[in-house]
Amino acid sequence: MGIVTANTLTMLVYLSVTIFTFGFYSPDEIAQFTWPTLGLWKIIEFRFLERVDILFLASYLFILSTTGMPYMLFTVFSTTQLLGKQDHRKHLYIFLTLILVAAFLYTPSFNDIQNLVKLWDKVGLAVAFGFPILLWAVTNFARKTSKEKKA
Amino acid sequence: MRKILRMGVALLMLVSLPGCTDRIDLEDATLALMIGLDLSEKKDLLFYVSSPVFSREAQAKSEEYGVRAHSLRESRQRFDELVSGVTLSGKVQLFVLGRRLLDTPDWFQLMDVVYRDARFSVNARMLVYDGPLEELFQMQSKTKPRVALHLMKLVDTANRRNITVKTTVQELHRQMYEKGITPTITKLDKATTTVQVEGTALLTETGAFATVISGRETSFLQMLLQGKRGEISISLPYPDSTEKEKIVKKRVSFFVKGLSKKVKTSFVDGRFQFDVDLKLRTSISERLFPFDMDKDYKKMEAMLEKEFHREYQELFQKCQKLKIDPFGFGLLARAYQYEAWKKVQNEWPQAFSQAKISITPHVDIKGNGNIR
Repeated sequence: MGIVTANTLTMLVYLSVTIFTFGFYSPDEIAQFTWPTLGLWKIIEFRFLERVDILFLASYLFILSTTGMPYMLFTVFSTTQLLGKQDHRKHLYIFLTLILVAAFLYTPSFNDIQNLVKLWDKVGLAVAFGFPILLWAVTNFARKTSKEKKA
Repeated sequence: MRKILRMGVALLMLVSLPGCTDRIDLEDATLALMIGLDLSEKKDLLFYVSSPVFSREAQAKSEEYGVRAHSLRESRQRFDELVSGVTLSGKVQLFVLGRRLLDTPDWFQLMDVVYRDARFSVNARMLVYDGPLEELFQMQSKTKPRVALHLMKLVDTANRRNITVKTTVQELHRQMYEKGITPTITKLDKATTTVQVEGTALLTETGAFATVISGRETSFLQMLLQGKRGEISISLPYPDSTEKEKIVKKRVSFFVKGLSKKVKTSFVDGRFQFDVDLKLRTSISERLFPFDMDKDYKKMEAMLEKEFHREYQELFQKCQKLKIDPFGFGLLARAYQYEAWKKVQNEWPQAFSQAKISITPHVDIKGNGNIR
């Protein structure tokens, strides 16, 4: 049930973004933009607020964070299990501080971001499809060897 | 628990404080309300800016500067050397192009910063001014507010009456990159002591100046482009044999209260064909000659249909001759005849100039006013 809800939510976000941008831009024009959704917000203007797109960006961070959160969970959970601890919260605090420090030390350039996006595309695919198969193979192998030992 | 909560709130407030470091006081800012781009006679690029003055000690209400530069960003640097505050482009209301600039190939490239810099306002209205921009920016009238604000109102209200288009910077971007439509911009012209809306400038696919259509023709263009938006009032001559001797000629004016447009798009013998069916619900607002509406209203409708047909045919022929498509027929071609469109999409204005367009107006007189 959770999977269906999560995927439906993601689909709704993607679908609305696609419909809005396709409705707003013409097909030849949309290719001119790196971030078409940000440009969408620029036509809204208030007397008291100049940059509506910044507000949008801030709220969009919540949506974007869902991409990173599973990876964070994996990392923290794995490190605690590697070190044989029960409570993974301490690791999470350390990890989050490390991320904060990293954000100060390393500012990716425009080109780096593009490369990272390409890299994460592949990593995401591998984690979603390759990883389960690998894990299944490993557990299968482990089960077999343990059975042989018993016998 | 209370303590932690309080500390949390305090921390949150502290965290949001760094956002205030790049705040700017209004007194330190020079808000560019109107930006102008022009070409001098010696082929130098000229940049103009008009901004309101908020100082109580200053005599004038707005200040205008013109500098020579190679690009908009470079000109901002020059402006910062001249004006008291830092020049900000987030409140730009008008973007004026000199008529001479439009004859320069690739002038649209100059607009790059407008789209690249997210701080630039994309809602500025695009204008073309016939003549040196110096005149327009220096224009000060005792009866009018700041020149930028006056022009803004002028364009907006003229657009409400459909005598000119309102193309924003964002809309121009669409029209420039969209293959199936050519750009249209508000055209301003010098009047004796002030400035007037001349109509609409029609540009070619690359942004070069093609022609200008009058406010009256713009109404017809707007009806095809947007349907009924704002007020559409049209005045037509009524055929009369003794026309020349009279001072008060036979004329009839009317509102368009509603209209619906249907276009049949087809591709016949290597040519696109557009059959436009226009249904108009009108209301007579002025008639300068006696006419028995009760009996002959069918005759009046037929005559209006004939005039509409003639006006549209002239407009279509004019645009086809100049190889421009301000009506966006290309969008229909793409939607309904994609196979044929795909082959000509990069030379759409050329294909459009060979297209066959027919228009059939159906006028329905719904109102006749208070008197018979």
